[in-house]
Amino acid sequence: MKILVISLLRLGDIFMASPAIEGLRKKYPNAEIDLLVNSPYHNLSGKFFGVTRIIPFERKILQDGLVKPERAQFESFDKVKTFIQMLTNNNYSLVVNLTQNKLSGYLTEAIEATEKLGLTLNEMNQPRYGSMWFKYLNDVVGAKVKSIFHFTDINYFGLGLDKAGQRFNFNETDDGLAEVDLFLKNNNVNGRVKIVIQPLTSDAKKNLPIRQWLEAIEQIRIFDSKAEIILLGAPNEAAVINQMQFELKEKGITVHAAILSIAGAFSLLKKCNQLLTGDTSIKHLAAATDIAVFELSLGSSDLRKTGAYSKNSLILKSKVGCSPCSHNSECIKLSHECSALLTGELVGLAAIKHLHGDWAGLKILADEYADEFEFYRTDISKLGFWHADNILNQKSESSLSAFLDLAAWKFLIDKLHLLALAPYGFEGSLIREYLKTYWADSDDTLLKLSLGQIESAVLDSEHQLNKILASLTKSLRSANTRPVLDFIENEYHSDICTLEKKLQLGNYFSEKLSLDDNLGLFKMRRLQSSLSEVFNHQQIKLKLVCSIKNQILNMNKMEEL
Amino acid sequence: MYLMKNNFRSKSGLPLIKFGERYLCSSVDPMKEAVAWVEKHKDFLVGLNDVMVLGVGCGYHLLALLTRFAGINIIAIDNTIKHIEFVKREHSIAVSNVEFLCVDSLFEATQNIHVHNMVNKPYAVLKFSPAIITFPQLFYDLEALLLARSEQGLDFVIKCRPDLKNLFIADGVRGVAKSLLSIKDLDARLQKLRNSDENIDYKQIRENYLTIKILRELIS
Repeated sequence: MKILVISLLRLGDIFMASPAIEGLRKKYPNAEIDLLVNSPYHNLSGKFFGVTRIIPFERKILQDGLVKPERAQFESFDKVKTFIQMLTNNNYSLVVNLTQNKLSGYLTEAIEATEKLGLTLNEMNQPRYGSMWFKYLNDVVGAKVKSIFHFTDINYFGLGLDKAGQRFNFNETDDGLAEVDLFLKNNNVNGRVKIVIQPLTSDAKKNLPIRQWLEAIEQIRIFDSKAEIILLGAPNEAAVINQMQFELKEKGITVHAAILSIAGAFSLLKKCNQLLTGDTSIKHLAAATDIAVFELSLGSSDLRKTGAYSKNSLILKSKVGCSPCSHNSECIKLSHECSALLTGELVGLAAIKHLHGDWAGLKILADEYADEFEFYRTDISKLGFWHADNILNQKSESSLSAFLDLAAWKFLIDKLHLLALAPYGFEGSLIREYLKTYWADSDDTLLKLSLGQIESAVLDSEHQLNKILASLTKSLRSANTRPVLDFIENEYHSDICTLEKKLQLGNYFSEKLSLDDNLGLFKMRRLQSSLSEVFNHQQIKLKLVCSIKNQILNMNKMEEL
Repeated sequence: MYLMKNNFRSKSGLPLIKFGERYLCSSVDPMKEAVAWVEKHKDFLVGLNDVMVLGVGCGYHLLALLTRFAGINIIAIDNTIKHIEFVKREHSIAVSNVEFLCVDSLFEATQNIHVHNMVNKPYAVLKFSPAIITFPQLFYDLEALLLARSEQGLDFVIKCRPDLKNLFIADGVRGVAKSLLSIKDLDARLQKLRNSDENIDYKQIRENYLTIKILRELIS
């Protein structure tokens, strides 16, 4: 069997595909797995990713062929066709598109294969997803809904792999090990605690200014005089890293500069205790090790989608209104406000507390800086998905409701509610068990109270949804479009928008409410479908709440007996 | 119109020819110039095996090209038979696999079977500037023609390639192709092709359509 995995975005996204690749390898142990990536990354070793080979997509060459007049008009056209033919000739049984953009959608459609998972776009621009999880990625995540699953989980669930089996796995290479051994030997790095700092990223918006990094390192040194501090960078970042090392030396602080390849960086992470970074790629590499990750989520980093994927990672995020910004646009502010306010002192203090697992101390720190920053603690729930909670709100109704939202979405997308014996009780017990981490048994009263409030809110939303749905269905049954237009323009427009806001659904409904083209009826049917989906979601959430409440009640009764 | 002499040598000792007062390659070290020219154009040849070279000159750039890209298919085009004869004589063995084409007009180029075959697959067109001084406008027009970057060139390439005809037949593709190819009168072309073609290969249309869509995403 041959499988092709398509990952045509940045390096961090390729690393994020690791659990999906690992899951495929587990499911199809004898399969040849090829990984299609943009050409700048094709020099990565297939062995490192655990794939048979890495195929480059020559994006730059194709773009040059299109825009340069001295190139033949059909050069890129021919190259793309030849490339597609080459992929088709590989006779893939399964093509997996983990990229979710139009380019990869058309490409996946053009490759002939027995089965396809992930977005495909045909010649009429009609999408197919192969799994409800990829549809969720397009419809729900794309609509900026607040409570969403991590991209790693969506990819993994979308492939229908083993439940809760997400595991980042990269293989150390001989070259990487040799690089690190040489680095450790030459620098005499033998302290018990090793902190790795990767200060630079490929996106300036995600960088903490160097001055603040230097302050943070000074702070770390004050609290831990023995820890070995390693500044990690790629070869093209050597000048900045060396300058930082020099400036710290002037202040009497010794740090080591590690200019390593990706394989070398991975081997280094395996030998260290903590990673501090704003870089996406390195934190995903770290997810395959035991290192504690402290992520600075700056610029376009969206922690909900791409946060550090491991238990007990600390994520520090600015509260400025524009955060996270778009990947593709320049910063709209005069300076990068998200990083400008982040002092080295705060980063250093948080790093030390995180290194020592002092979550109570971090909570105090988070409280002190609550106006400007949010601190998140990551976890992987018993239901098998990653999530990050604001450490100030971990035992709050809002955090519980957000978690239940995710649980209900998973239930809905996996279509468990359609089973004859839908496992509300089982899922509820898993949630209950999981909640014990934050809501100790003694807090049952508080938990019951929060569940009661959530139940009441869900009942209210369910009622409103039902009313709107009934009216919309009635309007759609009419052959005349006028009632539908009335429906949108007058009757329920504001109700829908209010409900959308209340349920933190981004623009999941409202994007279908605009009547700026001739797709009014089509959009209304899509709205009807979205409303039904959210109605089902709320029903599931309600049943899960009831299940947890019952379990608490039964537990109390048993204790009384 | 012009006087051609072929009894000159470069400072490095290699035989040269002149057109009027100008040499058709470097008078100091033609081989060094040729190697640099190939190096400059190497990106054009990534993944390609076919190239048309405009301007035969003294032929050193052809030698450099054959040395750097072993096995490459070359059609060398010039408007002066004497230049071609010079190159064939001076580099007889090395250029034995090169197709030489002497043309006075665009029409002549479009009639050549080797050109027809080459535009049927991915190819590049390279210009050797020192050698095109004999009739610069002809070479510029030839370049646009062979790259299908002119109206006439697009006509020519499409006629040579049946797989491309459908590109302009599928209504849905028209808009995409128009923006991609920057050709103003595709509608007229579409009509013409629609009248001339009876058999439409829908599988091919779909493939072409998806390819165009991919290309469009690459430049969006």
